[in-house]
Amino acid sequence: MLVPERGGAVVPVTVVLCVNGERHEFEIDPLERLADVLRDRIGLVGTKVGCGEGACGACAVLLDGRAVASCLLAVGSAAGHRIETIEGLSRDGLTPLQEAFIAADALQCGFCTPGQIVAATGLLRAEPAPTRAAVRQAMSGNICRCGCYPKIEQAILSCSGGDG
Amino acid sequence: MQTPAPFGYERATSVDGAIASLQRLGPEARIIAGGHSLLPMMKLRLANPEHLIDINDLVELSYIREQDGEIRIGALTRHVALLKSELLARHFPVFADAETVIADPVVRNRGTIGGSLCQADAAEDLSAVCTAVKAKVVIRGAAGERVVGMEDFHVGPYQTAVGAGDVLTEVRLPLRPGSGSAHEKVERRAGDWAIAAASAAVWIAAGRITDVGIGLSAVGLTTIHLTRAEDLLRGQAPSEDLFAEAGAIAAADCSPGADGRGPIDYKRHLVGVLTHRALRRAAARAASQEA
Amino acid sequence: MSTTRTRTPLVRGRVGELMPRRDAEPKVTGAFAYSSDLEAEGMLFAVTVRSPHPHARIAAIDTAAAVATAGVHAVLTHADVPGRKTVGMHRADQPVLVVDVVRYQGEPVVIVAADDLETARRAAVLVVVTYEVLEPVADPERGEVLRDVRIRHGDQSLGADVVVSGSYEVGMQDQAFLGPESGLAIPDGDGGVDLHVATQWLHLDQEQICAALDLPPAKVRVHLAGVGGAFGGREDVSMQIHACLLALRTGRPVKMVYTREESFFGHVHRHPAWMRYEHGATPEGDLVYVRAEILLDGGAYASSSPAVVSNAACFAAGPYRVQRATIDARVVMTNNPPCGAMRGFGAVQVAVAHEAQMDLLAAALGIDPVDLRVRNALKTGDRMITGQVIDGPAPVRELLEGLRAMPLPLERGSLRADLRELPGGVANTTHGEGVRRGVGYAIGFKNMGFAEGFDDYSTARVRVSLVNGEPLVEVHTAACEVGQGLVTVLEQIARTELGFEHVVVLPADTTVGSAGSSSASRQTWMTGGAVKAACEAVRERLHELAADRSVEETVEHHHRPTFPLDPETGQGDAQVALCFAAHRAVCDVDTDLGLVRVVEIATTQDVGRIMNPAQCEGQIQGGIAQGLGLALMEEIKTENGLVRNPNFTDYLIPTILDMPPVRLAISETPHPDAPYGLNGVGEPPTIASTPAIAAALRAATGRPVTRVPVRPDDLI
Repeated sequence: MLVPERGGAVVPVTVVLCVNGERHEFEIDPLERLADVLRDRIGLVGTKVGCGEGACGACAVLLDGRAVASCLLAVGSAAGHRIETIEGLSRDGLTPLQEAFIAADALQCGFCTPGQIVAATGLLRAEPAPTRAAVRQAMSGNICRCGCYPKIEQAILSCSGGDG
Repeated sequence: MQTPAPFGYERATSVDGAIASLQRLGPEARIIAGGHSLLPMMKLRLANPEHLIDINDLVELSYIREQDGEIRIGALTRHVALLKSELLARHFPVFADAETVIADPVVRNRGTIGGSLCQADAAEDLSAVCTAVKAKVVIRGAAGERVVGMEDFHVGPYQTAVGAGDVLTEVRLPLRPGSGSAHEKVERRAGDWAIAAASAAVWIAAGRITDVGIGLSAVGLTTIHLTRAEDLLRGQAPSEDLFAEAGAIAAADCSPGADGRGPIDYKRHLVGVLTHRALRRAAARAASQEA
Repeated sequence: MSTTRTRTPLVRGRVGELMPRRDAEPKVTGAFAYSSDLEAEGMLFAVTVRSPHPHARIAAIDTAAAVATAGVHAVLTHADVPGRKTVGMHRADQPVLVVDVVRYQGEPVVIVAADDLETARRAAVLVVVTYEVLEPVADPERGEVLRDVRIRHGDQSLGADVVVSGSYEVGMQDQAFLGPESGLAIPDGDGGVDLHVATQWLHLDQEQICAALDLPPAKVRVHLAGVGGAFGGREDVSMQIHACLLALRTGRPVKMVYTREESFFGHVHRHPAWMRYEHGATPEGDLVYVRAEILLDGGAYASSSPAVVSNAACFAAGPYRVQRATIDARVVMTNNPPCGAMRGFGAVQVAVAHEAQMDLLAAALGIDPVDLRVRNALKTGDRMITGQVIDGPAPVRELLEGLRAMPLPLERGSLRADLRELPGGVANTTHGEGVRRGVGYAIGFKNMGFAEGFDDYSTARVRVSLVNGEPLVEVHTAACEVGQGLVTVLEQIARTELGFEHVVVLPADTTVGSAGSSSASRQTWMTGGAVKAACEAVRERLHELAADRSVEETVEHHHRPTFPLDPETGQGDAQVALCFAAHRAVCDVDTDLGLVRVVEIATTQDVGRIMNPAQCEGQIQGGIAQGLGLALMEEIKTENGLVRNPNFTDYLIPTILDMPPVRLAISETPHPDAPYGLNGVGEPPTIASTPAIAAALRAATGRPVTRVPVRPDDLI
């Protein structure tokens, strides 16, 4: 729930979401945050909620191909747009980026990892050969409290077509 | 317990439709774009609209183009588009400077220029940028469209010239020769709000500053427009001493408060240095455009 | 059977080898189930009503409206706690739910379970708690002393020719693990409960739940759910007892997930510290004495404060030989947020002071700061200031010399400068104006394991059976994987000892004996040792293995005994083993703006034995990231007991842009007491990284920099 203190009488609306290529229809408070709808209604718990205010990146999903904070996105606004979660990215087996995260040991507790992979996937789609500086800049919205940054950087660069 | 008013939500299919809804629903209705400012405000009960009109489907409000001697930016243009625009970078590099440091990439993919300007948080960067480049905004309401200069846009803390039944639709940046612009921000960490930031734009012809704009973020109750420093600079030949003097005026003319980001003296000091540096960089960019 | 008993050198994934972490694949695909991801048929959602005041007397609690709300199943207060009404690691002084007096902001008062989260939250708002607000004790100088550790080592009359002194401060750091406190309690229908939770120490949770619920251990089974980071912050209980209380009361599964704001109130933090130091040395640079007064603010409850202050005292002088030490360390209780365990545990705070002092002393003596440290370096056979003779490795000199020999990063301007690499980073604010570079060195140490006589142990059950003729090894412990890579290392150990390819580390729970805590850099040593010993015991019996007969052994591994510190002199063999790491920070500072760029951290660390190379590196890099955070940005700010920044917008954590390249040299001096000669790895990187950065900032700016986190305005 995005806005807990709002008055009680919500008029639910019909929201049709397209998540990982599948259609989901809800009668729902349009201001429910997308992160909760994904996790609690669709069961896609790979999307994590770390801070609830767009400051950590753990909840990143791709909206029309771009990484956005699903904890700050009202489900009403997401309707009709193409949503991809970590589960969608993993549907056909591990992606090269996921393989690279494993090979580089770019995770510890792993709570931020889905968001990291989603954000990096968005980056690599928009910019297939990012430099090291571009990778660092693009990933600056994704906190890794375990501090795996050097290995995250290494993992993403290993998937970059560029020279780093 | 009072029964709360029913809460409503609709997705606008046209600007006029959104305006009609705003008119119909009255002052408790609000426009929601990226939602990255409004929704947290609602969570903190700083805003409590009874009705939201979602304009994310209005793709016609998402553009950056050159027209009639202006750069025109649709209100629904996302931060990431401002950051990546070559057109904008060519004429007003101050936007890319600022966009690099507005929140983080995930937030920039969603937040919009219209949302940032209408939120009018004094610490927000684009208000200072638009002040510096002497932008005009287009506000459409029931009575039609009006164009408001940035000098008249901020009417108080978190308050703008956009009225209850209005929609901000466009930002216009007049193109004039010899321009250079820059944004300088100090933040505690990438993605943080500014401790202080300065935006500057200069227009230089025949070695003289023909016009100049300076806006400051996070050092007052609203975005600060530094008219006294602008007056000093106008008509002068750009120089380090002159910019330092402008920086000193800026430090005097801002009104920061002490908070977790720093004490007042430090913020004033920053404003001086940042204004100086922004002017220096803007002038250098103007010179390279001239060449 | 003989073929299966032959160890095949071809089996991959042994100790010391590259092996991907076992839980990597589910973690990169989002399939790994964290404690916040769990669900059960018919589960309820629970929330906590917390005190907005740091100090207040509760006059009345009115739950009637909440109870009457449709969809609400239970609204509980302290009166509903059937057993002991308090919890605590060292002393049970913290109410499960506030009984009469609130002692810190955010303290839990009432818990509510309802059909859904929305209903629970709305009902929580309807709980009326009447507070008589009291003046909080917010100034630690006015706090009640919880423990006072005195160290009087050597001839107390010794003076010195060269004396330097200083005062230092460390702010309150948060573990800020990314996965907030959460769990799911499922009643078994027979008066017992199964709790699935993210924790560091299953059996300590179990013990405290049992006490509060007045149930025997067999009725409370605690299972480790996926842990989204810990760093000390999950050693004390948070929602564990609350969820179990509600589950038993309602007869329904109960899920509880803290918000980020609640998480700031839901766990202990790193103690803020105020330290006054005086060092005396001979003109040649031999340390004669260290005097220190150390004050830690423990906040409202004891938590692990008594042990933290002991560590602060024992490591107060740094890894140096000192003839005389006079240390007075105390931890006090206030109405500030409770503080307790965080990675580095008392050694972090004092390192900020003792390393600054070593630099001051070097300057006073006109000696190179690294030379001064090398000259006074502790080595095997020396006495610590507690009088304990170090009989394990103490490669202080080697780490410092190795660090000094590492190449420095290129000077600015020697490559085409990327402005993003200057202070201010992507803001491009600095174009080289006023930028000065500084280099700082620091070294720190702390103990592996618990101290002062705690009989610490871990338990492992190892079972080998034949599945389709192939041996399967099952390793069962209660040791918590918190991201450090333990499950992978345990698998490597079992594979190494038994030589079988197929090793499964079973989920951790309390149906096997305690493993102790995943803290104090101890778990690989302790539980690794237990698994190794259990494998050895199994190996002796492998001849019994048959298609219908498995072989199983359960072994407890204890480390050697330690002893309490003498209350008057602070002398005693309190430590099991010591781990060391040295850091060199190179920082650029925009001295006009106070902006910092950490250009590089170089580090040398002795780990005894590298068990898993990538995970070992990851621990070191990650610890440095947290040390950098403490140096430059991380601080919980309080004002008269109220937390001012309980969110990630205002509590800043380093991002990838803040993380510098880490130049890393890991050495392996086998520890004679440890399995495989290994040593603790996780904490040392957090100790000296912070003072190394502070030293670099002093070198760059000439400013004193006596407080961390350093504020930009301290640098101009």
